[in-house]
Amino acid sequence: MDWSSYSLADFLMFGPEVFLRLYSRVNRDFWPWPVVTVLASVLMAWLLTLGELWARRAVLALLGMAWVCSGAGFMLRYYGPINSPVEYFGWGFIAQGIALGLTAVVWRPESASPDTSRRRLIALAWLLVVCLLPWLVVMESGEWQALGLFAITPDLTVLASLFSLLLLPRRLRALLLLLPALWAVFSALTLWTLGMTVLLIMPLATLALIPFAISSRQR
Amino acid sequence: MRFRLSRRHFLAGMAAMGLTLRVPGLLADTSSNAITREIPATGEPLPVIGMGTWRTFNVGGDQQLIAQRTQVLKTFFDLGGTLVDSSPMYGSADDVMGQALSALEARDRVFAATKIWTGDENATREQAEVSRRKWQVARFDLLQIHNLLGWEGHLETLKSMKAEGEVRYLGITTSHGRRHRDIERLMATEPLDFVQLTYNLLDREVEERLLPLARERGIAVIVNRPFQGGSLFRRFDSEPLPAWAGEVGCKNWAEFFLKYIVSHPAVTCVIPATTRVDHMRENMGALYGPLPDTSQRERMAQYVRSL
Ligand SMILES: NC(=O)c1ccc[n+]([C@@H]2O[C@H](COP(=O)([O-])OP(=O)(O)OC[C@H]3O[C@@H](n4cnc5c(N)ncnc54)[C@H](OP(=O)(O)O)[C@@H]3O)[C@@H](O)[C@H]2O)c1
Repeated sequence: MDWSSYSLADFLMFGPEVFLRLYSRVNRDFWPWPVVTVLASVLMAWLLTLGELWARRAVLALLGMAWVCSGAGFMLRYYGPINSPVEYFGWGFIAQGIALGLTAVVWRPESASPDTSRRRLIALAWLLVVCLLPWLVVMESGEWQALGLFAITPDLTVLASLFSLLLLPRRLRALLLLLPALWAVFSALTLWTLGMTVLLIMPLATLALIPFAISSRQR
Repeated sequence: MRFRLSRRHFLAGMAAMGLTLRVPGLLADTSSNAITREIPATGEPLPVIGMGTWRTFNVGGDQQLIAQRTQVLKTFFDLGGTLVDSSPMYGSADDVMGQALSALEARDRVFAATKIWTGDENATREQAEVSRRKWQVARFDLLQIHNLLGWEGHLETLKSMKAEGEVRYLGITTSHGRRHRDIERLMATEPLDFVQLTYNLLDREVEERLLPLARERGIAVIVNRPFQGGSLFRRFDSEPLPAWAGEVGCKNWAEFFLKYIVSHPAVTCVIPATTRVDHMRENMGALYGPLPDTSQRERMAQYVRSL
């Protein structure tokens, strides 16, 4: 096959309208789940400020649930039917969510939690990301019901996860950053081809932050 | 209902008759005046405007959009169209088509065409059956090997399926001018009923060899990407139609683009895709009225080049 004659647009099977409506549809169909996820996001910010082991475990467990929900809901049920590679990612998200859940249960941290000021910084960054970035989809679609929320939509779930993964030791963290990196590349190419420059911010920010997330020390 | 013959109908009828004489296989359907072409293999008439579904019908489970696309399909049928083209490659398009056909109870009105798109050359029947269940039709009218993927195995199976009455016609597809040498070789050597290829006012390479070969070999031609995926509108929509557009039966750019294609004597059907009812109406306008003759076609191509 002569791949040079193909462009990215040849692989894009849907238009912007169908894609943006996925967000409002999922929020409507799963109501009041969007409210629960917003509350969970705030709860996670508070947990991130605490240094205790149980709080760190709880953050990881909630994060795992967020990955499973976004994989099983948005990706497998809504996005996958119009964009077949997303189905594989959806299963990957569920696997990653389970891995995070298992980590929460079995993980015995060798090092102490990051110091207080660093924890607060992580929590603040987390809060800003999960509260502000959902509005990017609203800006792109012009519909406030299209909020792209954490634990529902993949781009924000992935980007927000980077902050919580800082709790983990570097090697484990690097392993758990593989899927976020792959997803961010896939998502960036898709959004680029759709011409959705505002939404591109999320996967591009993920890709820019991954090297820092890998190299960052725990404290 | 009384039928009054207006001057416009009379002139359009005369023009269509004139064209019928000039272009073999082109017939004016007396019931609706829709322009049809015969499928060379059987002589079965086919309206020259069909419908594509790439991107436009891949709306997943979005009930609002499914209902809206159903209206697009209804408009297509109401205005005399029959051939709908899809592929397992088009995401949920096969599913959505099945739902739209059910809502319209239109299975007897559709000329159902989809594709085989798998590298597994033993999976022809299996994939055709999956698509058939999605469309919920008794059988497909046409199965095409999408972009020649795994063509050797698929073609043999399609031949058997046709012999057993599981499908009425078989064909191959390409687009964007890809693999024309292979397409030409298969057209010259295999018993194909249909070939699908890209042809529009700017992409005219097929006029050289493939279209003449299709006529010579009695192969029906389906034309994809008639608007170059929509870019012809983006490029020319702001430009005026030529003053003589009415002479070639065109009221708007959609008709201008489509009539250029369907007036080629080798073309059987063109399959523009749209998400919009108003665009479907414009496109179906090309199913009626006079078509340009050879010199007018050249004038059309020259005009577009000059813009
Ligand atoms: N290898 C293959 O087998 C192959 C490859 C390519 C295509 N195909 C088939 O051929 C079909 C047609 O090709 P295509 O879909 O790529 O491109 P196309 O039909 O040339 O163009 C479709 C685009 O034109 C726009 N459009 C349609 N009617 C219009 C009108 N009256 N005014 C303004 N814009 C209009 C549509 O936008 P709106 O939705 O806004 O109307 C859509 O974006 C496909 O759907 C598919 O079934 C097959």
